[in-house]
Amino acid sequence: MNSKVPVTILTGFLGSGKTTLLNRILSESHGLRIAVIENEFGEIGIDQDMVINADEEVFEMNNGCICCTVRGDLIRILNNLARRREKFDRIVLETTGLADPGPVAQTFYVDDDIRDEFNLEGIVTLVDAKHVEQHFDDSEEVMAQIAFADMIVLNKCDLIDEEQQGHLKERLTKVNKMATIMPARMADVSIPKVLDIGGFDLDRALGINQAFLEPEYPFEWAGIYSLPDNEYTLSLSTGPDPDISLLCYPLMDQDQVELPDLAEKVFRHWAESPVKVKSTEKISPGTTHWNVDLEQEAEINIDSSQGGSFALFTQHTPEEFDLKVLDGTGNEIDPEEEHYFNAGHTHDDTVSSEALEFGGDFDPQKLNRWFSQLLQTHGPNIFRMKGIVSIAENEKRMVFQGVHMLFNAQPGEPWGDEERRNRIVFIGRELDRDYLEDGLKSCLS
Amino acid sequence: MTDIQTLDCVFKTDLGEAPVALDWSACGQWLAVINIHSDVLVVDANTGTPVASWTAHDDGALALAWHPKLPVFASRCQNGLVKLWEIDSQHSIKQVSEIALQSESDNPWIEFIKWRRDGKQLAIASGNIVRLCSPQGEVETSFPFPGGTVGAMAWHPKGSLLGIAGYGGILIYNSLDPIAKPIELKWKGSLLSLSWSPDGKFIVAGCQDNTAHVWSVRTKKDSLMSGFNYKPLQLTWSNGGKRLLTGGTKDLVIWSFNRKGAEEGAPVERAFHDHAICAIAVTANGKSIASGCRNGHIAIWESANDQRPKTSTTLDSRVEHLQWSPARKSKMLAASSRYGSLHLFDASAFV
Repeated sequence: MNSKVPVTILTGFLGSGKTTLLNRILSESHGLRIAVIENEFGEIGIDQDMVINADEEVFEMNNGCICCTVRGDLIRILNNLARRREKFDRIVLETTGLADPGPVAQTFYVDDDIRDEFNLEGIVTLVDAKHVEQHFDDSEEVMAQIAFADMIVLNKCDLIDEEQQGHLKERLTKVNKMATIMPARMADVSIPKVLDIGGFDLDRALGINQAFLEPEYPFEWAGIYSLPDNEYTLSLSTGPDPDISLLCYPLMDQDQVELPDLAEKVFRHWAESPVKVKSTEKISPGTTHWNVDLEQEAEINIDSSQGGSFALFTQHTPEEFDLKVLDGTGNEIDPEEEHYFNAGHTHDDTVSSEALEFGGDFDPQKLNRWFSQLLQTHGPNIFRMKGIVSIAENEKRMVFQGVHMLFNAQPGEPWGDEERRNRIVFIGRELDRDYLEDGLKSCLS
Repeated sequence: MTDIQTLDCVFKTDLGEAPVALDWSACGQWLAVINIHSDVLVVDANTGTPVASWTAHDDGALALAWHPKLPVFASRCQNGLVKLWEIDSQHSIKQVSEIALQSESDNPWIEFIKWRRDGKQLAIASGNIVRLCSPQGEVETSFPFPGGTVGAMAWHPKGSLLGIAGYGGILIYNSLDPIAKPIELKWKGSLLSLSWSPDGKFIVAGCQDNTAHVWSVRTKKDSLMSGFNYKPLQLTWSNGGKRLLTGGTKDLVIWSFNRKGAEEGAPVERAFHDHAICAIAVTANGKSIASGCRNGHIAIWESANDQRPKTSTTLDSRVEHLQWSPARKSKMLAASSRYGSLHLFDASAFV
């Protein structure tokens, strides 16, 4: 009776398949007795008398800070459930499609009674693979739900092809490098995996999702075009930014080229200052870093008088600016190959994640001070963070996680013979990788 | 603790499930307790024997409250129902009326029920509305609480004013003049418990952020009481309102209200418990105190001036409820635990 009740938060936008997954959790034989807290109508309990229904009641603890905002309804319901905790093994808490997961998660950190009785094991976010991209740019809730997730169930994958799925995974990873992404159709994911996420198990997250270790580039997309001796037009519409950077890298032997391999070469040229170019002006394949003015639609002439193939690298995805390569008669030419890159955090106004890994032992006092300062000044912008760090003269890993300004650290497994590497993931808005990395490294002993 | 005599238990039973509410009849003869499965047990305190038990609701119960003058009590549940039950001298129980609040627009989860002191109205809080009903079950008026779900409510001890607390502060409505603008006591935060001083001059609220907040109702002047480790939801007055006792720490914290209220200086702290105090009760004469904590310890203090309790005992788990008999001369104390045990103690040897 002294162990805490594990809680899994199930979140996801409207129509993402939460209820389908919930019904599977309740109907499949996994041997667990699960109490469900439902805050949309149609509540389901483990037995008839466990009617658990919540209004969305959000309140701030004292000073209006988002970091101290909790869910009053949840506190009351959980306190009620605490009285009958011998009746169930765990709790699944389904939020409404429009709920901000922040106050829900914070409730498990802020409220003393809840913290004593319950343990937030993980946040599972369901994503509608077919439609989620429509919400990336216009829905704060969708971004927050993805950012807070320990696991993202990419549902309805049968409605998109593999290429789209790959692209979507990259976008999701950009927002949240910490989460495991599980493709699914009809929410057919392994229920034990969904329920057994393990709130502090960063090793698992890092082990499954290696994408965060891949390099980040200042370009999001590249496509290979073969253009005979002729003039072509690069057509661009206005998009989220007033300009777009690009580079047309000539290819000697197209068959030998892998776009990810080429990225390192292009990256070096990208570091040069861009040359401004406007509609109707001309660009040539080469190593010049171009920047196209997109205050209005632009049609840029591509000088392909030498013929051959080139790789077009663009700062943003073609979809964002309706990028097309047109021949002399206005027909669109498709790329023969394309690749979406794990872009650097060039969109400072969007949610993203930063994963840091480096060696060395931390001075605990310096680290405490730095985290304290970080959370006081940047807490509202840091949705979640998790980490495993090495503390000087300490045999055990220090495992921590946080939600906004709320922070929890505890000793983990001993390092043993394993190399002591610090691995820390931040998810939030306007994350400055250099600031985070420099700050953390300044705390090494 | 070794020098303290143990408190004797005169009645004990297992409720089977965690108790959600416990209340004495106004005359002090009956004690009623309801558990999470809506099983009600009525005990005759004069004989120390259970006299009736039944299931009051089809779903989980949330509270019960005895009428201040009649042998009637109300029980309420998670599905929008309040039922009124009457017990006669032969201990037979019958349901006398039912109030159904559930509708499409309502949150069926009824948060609180409280009788007005004269027993003419029952306040029922559900969502962000408090309805006032007659003892016959008719809804007579409604008071909104725009701040959100009602977190607590309390009737003025001497009159018709009803304090409603929640996120953003307190609204005090007059049940005899329901269209009058309520008194507004604002506070940026969420208020979770509420208590009037016995003379009605002060109203105090326990807050989500581990503070308590007290107002002079007349001047609206407010004071913040802080330093609690947990939410100080226990707010109990003793000595005719000259002392306010608060939980939220392992020490019994005693605030002096002799003249100005909470600003009279630092409170007195009485150390005894090992864990945070989660229940406090004061005898009908306002002098003696029972305090219970999270590990099941109960202490009996003869008065707020005691440095040490007169006696103590231990329940099997966290103390959920403590309530002295309202009969002026009685020293019977009812206590319940998280694991579902109900105890009746006779403390007349100590207080």
